[in-house]
Amino acid sequence: MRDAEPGARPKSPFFRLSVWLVERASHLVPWDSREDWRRVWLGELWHRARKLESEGGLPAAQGVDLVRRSLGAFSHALFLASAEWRLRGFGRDLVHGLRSLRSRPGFALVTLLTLALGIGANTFLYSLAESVLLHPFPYRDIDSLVAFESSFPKLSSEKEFIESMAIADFRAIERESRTLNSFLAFDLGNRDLGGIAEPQRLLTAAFWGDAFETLGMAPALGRGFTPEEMERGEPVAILSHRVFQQHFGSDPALVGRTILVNGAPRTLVGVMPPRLLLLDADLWLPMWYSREEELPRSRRVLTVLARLRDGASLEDAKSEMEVLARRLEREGMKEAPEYEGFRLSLSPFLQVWSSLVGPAAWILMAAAALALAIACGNIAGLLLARGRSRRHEMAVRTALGAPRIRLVGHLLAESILLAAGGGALALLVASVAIEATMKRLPASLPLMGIEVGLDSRALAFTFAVSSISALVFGLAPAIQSARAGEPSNLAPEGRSFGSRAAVRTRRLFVSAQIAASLVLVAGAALMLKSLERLAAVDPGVNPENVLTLRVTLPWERYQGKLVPLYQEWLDAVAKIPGVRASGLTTQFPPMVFVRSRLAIEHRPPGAEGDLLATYETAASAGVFEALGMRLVRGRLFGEGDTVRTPPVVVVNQALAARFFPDQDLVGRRVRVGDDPSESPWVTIVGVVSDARNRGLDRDPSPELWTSYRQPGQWNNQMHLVVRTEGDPRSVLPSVRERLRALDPHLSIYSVQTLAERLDTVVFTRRFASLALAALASMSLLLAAMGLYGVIAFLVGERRRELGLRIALGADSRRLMGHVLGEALKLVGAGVVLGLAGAFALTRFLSGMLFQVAPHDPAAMAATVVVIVVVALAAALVPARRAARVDPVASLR
Amino acid sequence: MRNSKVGEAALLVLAAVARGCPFGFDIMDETGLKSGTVYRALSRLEERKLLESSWEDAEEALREKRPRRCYYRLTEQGRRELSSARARLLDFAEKLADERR
Repeated sequence: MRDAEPGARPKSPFFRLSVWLVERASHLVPWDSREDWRRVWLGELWHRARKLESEGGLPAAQGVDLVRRSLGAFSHALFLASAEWRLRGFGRDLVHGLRSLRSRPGFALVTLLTLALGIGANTFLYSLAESVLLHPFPYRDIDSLVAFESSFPKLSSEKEFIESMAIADFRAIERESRTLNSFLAFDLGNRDLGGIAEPQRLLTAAFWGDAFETLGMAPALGRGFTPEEMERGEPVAILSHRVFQQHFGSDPALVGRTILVNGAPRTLVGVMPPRLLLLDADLWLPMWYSREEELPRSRRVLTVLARLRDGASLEDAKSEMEVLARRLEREGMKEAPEYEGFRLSLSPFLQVWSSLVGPAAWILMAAAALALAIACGNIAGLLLARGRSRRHEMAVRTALGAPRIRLVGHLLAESILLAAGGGALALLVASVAIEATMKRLPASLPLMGIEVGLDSRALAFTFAVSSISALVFGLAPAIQSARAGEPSNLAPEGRSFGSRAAVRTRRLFVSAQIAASLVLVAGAALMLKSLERLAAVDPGVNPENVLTLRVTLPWERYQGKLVPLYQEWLDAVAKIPGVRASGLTTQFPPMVFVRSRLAIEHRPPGAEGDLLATYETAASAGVFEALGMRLVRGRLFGEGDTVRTPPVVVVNQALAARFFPDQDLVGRRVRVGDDPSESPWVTIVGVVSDARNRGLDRDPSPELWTSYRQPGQWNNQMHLVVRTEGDPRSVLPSVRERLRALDPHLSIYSVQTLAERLDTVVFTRRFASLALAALASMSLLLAAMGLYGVIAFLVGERRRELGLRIALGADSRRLMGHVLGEALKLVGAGVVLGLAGAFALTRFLSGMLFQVAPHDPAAMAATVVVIVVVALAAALVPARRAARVDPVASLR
Repeated sequence: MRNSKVGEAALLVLAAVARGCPFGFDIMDETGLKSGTVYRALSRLEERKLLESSWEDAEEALREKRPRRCYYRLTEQGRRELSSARARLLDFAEKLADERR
């Protein structure tokens, strides 16, 4: 078909380069017009070259011009190719791909499931991370929103989420700061919402400042508080969207009407937007203190947020607060000794929040990405193997003139179909996982109204991950296969460089997969070991058959009448059949919060340099038995301890050991309170066994119990703790009934068994551990499948050789060993690489480990054993096949 | 795209062919357009049947010791398209000139 070349080629290197370029470009041109296309371009090149030759040579400038012109051939060729694609369409490739996948349902199914799990895990964890970490709050310009943290080193307290601030300090900051504006100070408490079918107890925030303004949110209905309302403390209220929906039927006419808060009427002026604002609060009220009220500096009640002024950086604000804190320290020390060393620090609000849950989420995201990479490695391996078996087909198609780009497109279409199918299934997997997780979330987890779901961001993420996956697992095999379209592959059993490269690529993949899965398995092993250690921890309470619930009495109605009512409750609950013990307490393990300062009689002040502190709980005597805590020494509260007798307290062993080492403390006197010098002396009458009162992963802290019947803090909020004979939930209806009989408007909430309560505190840890373990198992399985694939493939390749060896009398066990040795090489490389990775990466886990070092040798050793055993098990099947090769059949 | 007007580059190419400049590389010299642009335009014009191509005489090529070149000429449709475009553009140019005045 080609014109014979007329005479000697022009010698100019420019001409040769140009011809070479045009020849390259011709591969892109659709086959049926390719030859003509070549002739058109070559005809022009030759003509131009001859013409210049006849004019006395080809000067460089003309030569360069020739080359530049021949570069245009690529754009022309691509134009024709794309016109061809438009005509026939990528759609045809897709249809073809679909057909080819349907002809191999096994391959398609395995690949789709692998992708569904791999991408699904990513989507699931991304959704969690997105709603919890990345976009938990719908606030405007969240980066300029900062939270204050104040620290009192003298109190040697741990840094809490957002440390509370004294009113005097807040006022100083608000007045003097030049870097911050739009302050929001709030105090959280609980209030009863009445006048509805089921009276509700709502977490309530009282404000100074306009929350809507500071957060940059518009109310869903109505408005925020006006400065006048704030100043005068007018009876107005704002409700959360969910309460408005659940209890008021979302009736917009209610805005402007009156609602009952703690029995007192208030005007509902607004409704918050759907996603909750500020620490789960359902009810907003103007601040309950007047701005002028001088609360002592020892009573720190405010949580403060602010916005950076335009032009001020976080660093500016930080250094300003540093200076201000020095002054407040001097001022404060005149009032309260703990101000010595007082510091104020600022952090972006989002950062404060994400530091609570961030590490676990990022670790899981990284693990999921790694697992998906392993999955992609497997699919790429399968496609490479398939590409090999289709070499012949490719070679034929190339010989028939299919441009290489079409072959790649054709193979890529298959990958795109797989990724799209996998992505769609992944959404299903993720939504199931989200639903299952949300259902198992402990009710008491502080989720702050965060909603987890598959939103548009999650969809976009899934799409992106699927596309990237398609490229990752599809491109290399597609290119390799298209390269396999070289004429040498036309011969049957043809071997070409392309196939050897494919084998090498697959081996590399497998070692990398084993390494990656080792990292994940090591992480999971450490986490599970921590979990096991944690489960072995004695919580100090007996969680079997214990029901807990919380009741709050409106202060306005019960002031001065609390103790008799509590007594009536206890009597009534004790009579319920199946109740073995019951008690009231303001807080109970594993999470107690309320702290007080402590002074001890006959102890030189400041002996330890620190101010003594203890957790302080008001309780009835029955609560110890109900929780399963033992009396170690002395006695508990008795009938004789009343408001008219000298006040007594019970302490735990941790307090005894910390403050009364080697002393008998029964009979000793202490003072407890925000300012102990103003509190009365109380006598220690008994010591109870320790319970993990600050979470299961921390040692018991000193705790002190006062009797609810003796003066101190009269508490209108109590937990009722009931130990039962059988299922604790079975007594719930009777408990409700008895309590409601005494006050029909009572709101009963936070109903939980003690076991559930203990679960809550380890929930994040357990979730992270189990999720990581699931990802690790999946990765290990995939890596094993990958190894199996490669070894089986190598055995298949070497059937002739193996058959020959057997025919020559080779021992079949040795052959098996030989193949296993081959596998071991890959595993060994993976293990070495993986161990290095694990040593480098597991330290990121250290914050989540409990009594386990990040390089725990036992866990690492176990990991390696698991990896090697699983890998060898996967290699064993093809190895046995190798030993059983029929020499006659293989040599035929 | 089928019924759309011919683009500027394609029009220049069409005009160059009509002026008796039938070969691809000569059209580049004549119009100053880049090679890719010229050939894309040629392909498009051929597809719309405004141009048709054939191979030059074999003997001519043989004499110059080179393969044959492909040359283009206007179809009847191409001629009509060119004259209507010319009229359109002249009209347009007149209007612009009027505005100047």
